[in-house]
Amino acid sequence: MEKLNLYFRGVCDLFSIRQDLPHQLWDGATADGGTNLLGTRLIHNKIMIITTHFFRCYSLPLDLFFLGQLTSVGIIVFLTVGFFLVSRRQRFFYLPFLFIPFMFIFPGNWSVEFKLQIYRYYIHLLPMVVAACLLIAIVQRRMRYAK
Amino acid sequence: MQNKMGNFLTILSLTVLSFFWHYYLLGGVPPLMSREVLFGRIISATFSILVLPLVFILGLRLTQSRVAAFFSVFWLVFMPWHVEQSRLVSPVTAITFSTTLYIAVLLTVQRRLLRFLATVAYIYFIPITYPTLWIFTGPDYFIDIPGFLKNSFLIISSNFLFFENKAFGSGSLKVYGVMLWSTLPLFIFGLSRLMANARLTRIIRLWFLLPFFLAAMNPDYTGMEVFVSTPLFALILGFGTLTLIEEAKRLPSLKFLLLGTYAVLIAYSLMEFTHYYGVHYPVRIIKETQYASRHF
Repeated sequence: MEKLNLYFRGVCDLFSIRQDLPHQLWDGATADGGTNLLGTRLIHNKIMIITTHFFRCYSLPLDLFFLGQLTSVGIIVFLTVGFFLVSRRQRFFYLPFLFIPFMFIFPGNWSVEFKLQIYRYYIHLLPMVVAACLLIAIVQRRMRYAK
Repeated sequence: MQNKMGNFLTILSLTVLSFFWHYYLLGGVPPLMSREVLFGRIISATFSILVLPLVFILGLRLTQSRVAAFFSVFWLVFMPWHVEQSRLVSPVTAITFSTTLYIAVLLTVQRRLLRFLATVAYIYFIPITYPTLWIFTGPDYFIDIPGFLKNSFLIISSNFLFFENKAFGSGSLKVYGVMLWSTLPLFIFGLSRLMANARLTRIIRLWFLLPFFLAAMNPDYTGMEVFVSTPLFALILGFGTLTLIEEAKRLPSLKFLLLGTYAVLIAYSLMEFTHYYGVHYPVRIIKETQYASRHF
């Protein structure tokens, strides 16, 4: 997979959303022509622009295309298959995926490279945990049959 | 008898309403560059309308629920990619109709001979309904594995499905994905419900996987081949809506409030999309065409 897309580097966070806000509002109002102010404000307002951008920024780190650039395809495939094989309780190991996008959206003191490194560590650690869970399940099943 | 009459009336009313949605201002939104193009647009719009009763029948067949079938058609009518392609001279609306018809025949007809004949007819008509498919035009080179993987991940990325679809090039809506971003929860609910039915997943997998592989193997990747799966996405959204309605019926008041908020969000995103398509999209097309004619 090609090198990590520079588009992501620090672009999709709260700061960039706020920076883009005036442009989005101006663009919307200009195209509408200014004839119906209420209608324009109903469609083009800060709440909805921020909400849309927020969801987009949230989905970006969970995107398979992004994950494929961060790690290898084999790991992604293993993690996907592993999710369906492990028990419901063991699926809790995947829970951090839901919170990691917040790390990128809210700027904080860490650099983007450092955040990506943390994400990479988690993605590489998770297959080992999943493999261990599957191994334990196989051993337990064999011991049950042996009895 | 009452059920059949109810189903027939629902299909009829949806098709009649969609006439307005697909044909109204067909020569103006998006702007026409030449009058010859209008005939092509009428054909695309017609095929897009013909898909709707088939999606309703499929939705009924798969869930036995008129509500799910209705919402499947509803989400297809308002699906950004479907709207975009149905009002342009699109090479994929005809193949989408023939594929949906073929799937409907497979799910409703039991006799093997008829299913075999339907398969032969479908395969025979592929070059006629989609002549610009890259395997017919002859690729200049074959894609390598990294390219194939990159295209595969692009197709199943949330960015392409919900936020940014540029498959049709300069004529794309661009700021919308295949589906509205607010329908993501419905998509997840619907997908899990669909996958639970083992008999159906075989046909459904084919409906998605074949266009998926064709799109991913295209050396000049655009993703247009995946358009054939848009009725399937609509069915998934319909199932998701049914699931949500069923959950809402037996929920305490707080969760009901959350669902009500979500319903408002959906209504808003539909309004926003209609506004963008009717106002901003034509303006963008005109400006881009003027810029291109001046500089190229």
